[in-house]
Amino acid sequence: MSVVMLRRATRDLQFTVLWYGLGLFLYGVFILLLYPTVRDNTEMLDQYLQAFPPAVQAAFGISDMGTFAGFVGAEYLNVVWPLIVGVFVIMTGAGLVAQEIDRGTVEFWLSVPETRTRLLLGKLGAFLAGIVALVAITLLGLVIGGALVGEAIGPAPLLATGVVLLSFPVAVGGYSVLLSSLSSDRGRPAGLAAGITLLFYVLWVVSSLSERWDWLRYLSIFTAFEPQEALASGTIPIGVLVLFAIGIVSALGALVIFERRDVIA
Amino acid sequence: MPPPIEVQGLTRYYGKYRGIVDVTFTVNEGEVFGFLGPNGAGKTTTIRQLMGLIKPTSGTARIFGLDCWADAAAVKSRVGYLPGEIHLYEKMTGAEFLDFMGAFRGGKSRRRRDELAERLDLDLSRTIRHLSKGNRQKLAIVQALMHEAPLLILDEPTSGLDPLKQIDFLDLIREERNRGVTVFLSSHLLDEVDRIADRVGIIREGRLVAIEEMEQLKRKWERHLSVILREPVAPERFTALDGVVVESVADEGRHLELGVRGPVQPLLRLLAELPVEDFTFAPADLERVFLRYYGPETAATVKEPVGVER
Repeated sequence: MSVVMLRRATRDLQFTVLWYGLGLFLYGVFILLLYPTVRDNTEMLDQYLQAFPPAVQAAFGISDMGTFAGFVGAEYLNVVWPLIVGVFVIMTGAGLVAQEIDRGTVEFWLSVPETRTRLLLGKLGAFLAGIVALVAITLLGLVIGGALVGEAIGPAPLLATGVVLLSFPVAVGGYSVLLSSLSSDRGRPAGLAAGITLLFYVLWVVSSLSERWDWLRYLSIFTAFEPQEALASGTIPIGVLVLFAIGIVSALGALVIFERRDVIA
Repeated sequence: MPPPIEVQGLTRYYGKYRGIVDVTFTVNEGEVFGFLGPNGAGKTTTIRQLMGLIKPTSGTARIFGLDCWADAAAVKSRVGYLPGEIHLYEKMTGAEFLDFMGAFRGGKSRRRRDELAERLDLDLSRTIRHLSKGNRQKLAIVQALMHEAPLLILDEPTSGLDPLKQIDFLDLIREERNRGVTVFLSSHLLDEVDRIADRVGIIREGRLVAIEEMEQLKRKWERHLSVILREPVAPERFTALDGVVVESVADEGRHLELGVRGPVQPLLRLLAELPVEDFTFAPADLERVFLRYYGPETAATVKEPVGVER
């Protein structure tokens, strides 16, 4: 890995990560401050939610709203969090290679005495550090928000939630970078990665609607993404391995492709 | 020691479109090699293969004996590169950009960097976004030269520079050559290459049509003279001179268009005797060189380079 590239890419990302992190932190704390109201009116809320069709409940990841983990999952981690972080990883990942070509800076970037692999690894390192930072900030928001409403989160649920949260942007970021490595403009890989992610989400929602469609869940990365369960049980679901594998294999694919491709048509 | 640049049968197609075809040349140590051709001839395609940005369809390009594609990183440690189209990192300042590019080579280039910036009158504290086209070009030039690499590859280096800065730049290149640096410089301007190059390769429609010593090429190329006279003069007065052709006569022999090759002294002596009202003397034009000496058909089909390789 090129350390010079890692340093530069980290600097380039730091403000983006800072703003996303601040948003996630404030959103987390704010949502948790609403928890006591929900906790004290569980029965009423359950009745209210039952009135919604199952599709809506599935789409928003709503279950066990009365429990702390259920509330955090439904209001934050199951859908809102991957949506926000998804935007960050898709925009950033899709730009790693393609943006340099799109903006024409690639001629300078690749005029340095480093292999393409080491240069891209530097960028991937910074990207991963940004993702880890966002997960850490999210967990910090949960701990502080939880403490404010009298819900202490133990180390095991915290760790398990962290690992599950990490797995999602690693997978999405991975295929975003893979698409980026194949492209010469940033818009196309970003649009494709967003479309694929949306498709995964739709498959996940549809799979929960009827037994007939249940098999579809094996086609969606959202099936393996279970932060609510991790927070409730304190165990890391085995499914996250699939997400990490998608991310790693995609990133390796991106490195191989970038090493071999023409960077200017 | 292997030559700074050695290109053998280099061919590159973009799908079915021609990039360059069977280009072969060698650039020797310590020389300034001008790579001359009109826009779209294949200069940048050749340079991008030298820089390992695109892969040859066939043939090889070597820099100091290293393959430009397979050993691209090692190649670049020996090259200072100026791209033909300057797209910089807009959010960085000039200094940040140069620090970034210098850091990959151990960051030893600071003194040289400041020296070059001063020579080219470039303010490094400004954000690149706010720099003019000329200043961006200067920044890119500083970047290429600051590493003190043994080989410079410069794609249309003076584009965007005002005429005075072009002269400063050419002085800089001469100094580099005097220090033993080899320079490979592309241009579509014959007079620019004339001022700096020792040897020239001419590329047209993707094929290398000639490699010549600058002096040899000079003897062949044709400048264009337009003369307006107060009284008619017989065209034969001009055609009697060696290397002068009359291209057109108008206004009853008062307005002549001439093509001039070789030394100009005899022509100047003749003009001094004639009732000249005005004249313009245009620099040699690349297309005219092609048309006059290779012909439109020949230029496109010559397979082996004309002239000698040193």
